[in-house]
Amino acid sequence: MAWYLRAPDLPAFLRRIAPVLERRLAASPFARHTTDLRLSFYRCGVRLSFAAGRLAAEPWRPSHPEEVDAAFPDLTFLKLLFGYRALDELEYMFADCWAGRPETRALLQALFPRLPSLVWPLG
Amino acid sequence: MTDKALPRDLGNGLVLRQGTPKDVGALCACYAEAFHRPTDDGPNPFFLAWIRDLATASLPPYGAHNFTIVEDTQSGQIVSSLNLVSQTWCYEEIEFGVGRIEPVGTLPSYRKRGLVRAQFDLAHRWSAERGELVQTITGIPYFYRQFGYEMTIESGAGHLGSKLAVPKLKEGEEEPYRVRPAAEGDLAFMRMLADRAAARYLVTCRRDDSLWRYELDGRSEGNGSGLVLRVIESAAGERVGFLGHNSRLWGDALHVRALELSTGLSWAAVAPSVLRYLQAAGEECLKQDPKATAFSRLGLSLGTEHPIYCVTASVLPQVDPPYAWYVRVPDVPAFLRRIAPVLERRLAESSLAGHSGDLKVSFYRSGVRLVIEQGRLTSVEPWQPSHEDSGQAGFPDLTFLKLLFGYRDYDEIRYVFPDAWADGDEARALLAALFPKRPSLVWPVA
Repeated sequence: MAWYLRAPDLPAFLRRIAPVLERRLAASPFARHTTDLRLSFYRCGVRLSFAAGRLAAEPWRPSHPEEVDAAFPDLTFLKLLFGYRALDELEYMFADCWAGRPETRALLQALFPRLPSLVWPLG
Repeated sequence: MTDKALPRDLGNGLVLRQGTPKDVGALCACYAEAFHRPTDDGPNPFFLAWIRDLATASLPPYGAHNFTIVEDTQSGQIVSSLNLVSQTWCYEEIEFGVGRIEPVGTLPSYRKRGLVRAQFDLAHRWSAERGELVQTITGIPYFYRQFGYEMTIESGAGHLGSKLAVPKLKEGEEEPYRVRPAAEGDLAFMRMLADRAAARYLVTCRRDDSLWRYELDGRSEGNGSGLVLRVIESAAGERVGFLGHNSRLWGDALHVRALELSTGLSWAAVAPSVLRYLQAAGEECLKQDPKATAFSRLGLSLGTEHPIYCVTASVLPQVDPPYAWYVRVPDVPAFLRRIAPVLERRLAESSLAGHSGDLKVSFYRSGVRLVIEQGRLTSVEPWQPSHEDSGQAGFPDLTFLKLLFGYRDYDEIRYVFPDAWADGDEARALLAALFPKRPSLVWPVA
């Protein structure tokens, strides 16, 4: 089974886990890379900005398809963010989930690898 | 033909109405503006010729009455429109009516006012009145999900490669197979091959004789939506197959959309001749189209699976992944009843041959109950899941359509959607037997 998750403010959550993402980036071929990653969730989106290995995350509204680096319908980005499923697996299931350029794919794979979770919750 | 419930006032001086032959010019103007991109140097004549043909061709799928129109009563201008192209598709051998919505266009200043939604509602009603169990559309990612569609029949996949990799004839060798223009006398042959090849796929589009004739030469000059049909024949002049390719280059590539051979013929023997023909045809397209800038690749856009792929792998090494058709099935039980012979055959060929039992499938807010008696699907009815009875399987939202149309199998769906489930070995075995993953190849009426 799976935990239901809600992340009402994704940029805030991404900023919170920035040290993890920066560490993953540093360990990847994109160490100290400077780039923007514009992720569309179709009705809203987030822009990740990397400069000298540091991450900034801001809300961003997709308007033109050519501005988008990768797209995730509905809440599917959460599956990637929480290591539940890999980018390839999501693209296979959702025809409207895509990452265009090879660099974008590699960057997303570096930032959001599939990883198991084990939660012993309070309650 | 005429919708007596129209016109309908949409407020703000806008009315929703049905198209008439008098609207053709204004429809073309609307679509030209709706699809205009800043980089365009004018309306695309191929696109406009297609719109005109959709609105004026005399065959049943066509005609201005199939267009929904939103008109601004102050200016008299058509500001938004869509078109419903009725056609017949097959689920294995079972025919079912499809309402294909294509194209959809709204002037930029009239967007985000719910005009497309109002027209989809109308097109859905027209499609239902025509007895069509399914509506489909191809289009930009995500957008059409909001009208009850799931992306669930593969489209657009293929294999591509450089034209320079096409094997050359050896010196003194004659072309073993020739490719020539198809003629009216070839239509029955091509239709026979296409209908037979449909067995390779789960979902296909079926054409009657009149539609085959339309594909051959029914479109007006300049309508680039059709395929150039060609017959493949042996050196002795015997017909051995046919192909259909785009009439223009797409980017730097010439794409084949249909290709079939007679039974008992080696694809390896014929493929090199076909590729050499395409190489020459691509060069001709480049020469004829002043807007084409390069021809460097050939594409066999024949879905994810096709017998020619295994003999062209090194020549066309680039695999183009599939996109997907948006599919809407407003009455899932009715569709399941329609395809019951397919489901019963699958069951008979599985380890559950002769099975008896219920299968209640929950979609959480609704559901369907299949009653199977000695291998026969005796009843398929809507069923409401409840706290006391959640059924034997569950699929959230529209994910059951992915299973129904062979797009993904149960394990794959379950892997991504933890709230997709089947309770027990029997339910899992039934789902696997009834709904295997299978490729589809739809060459739609357009």
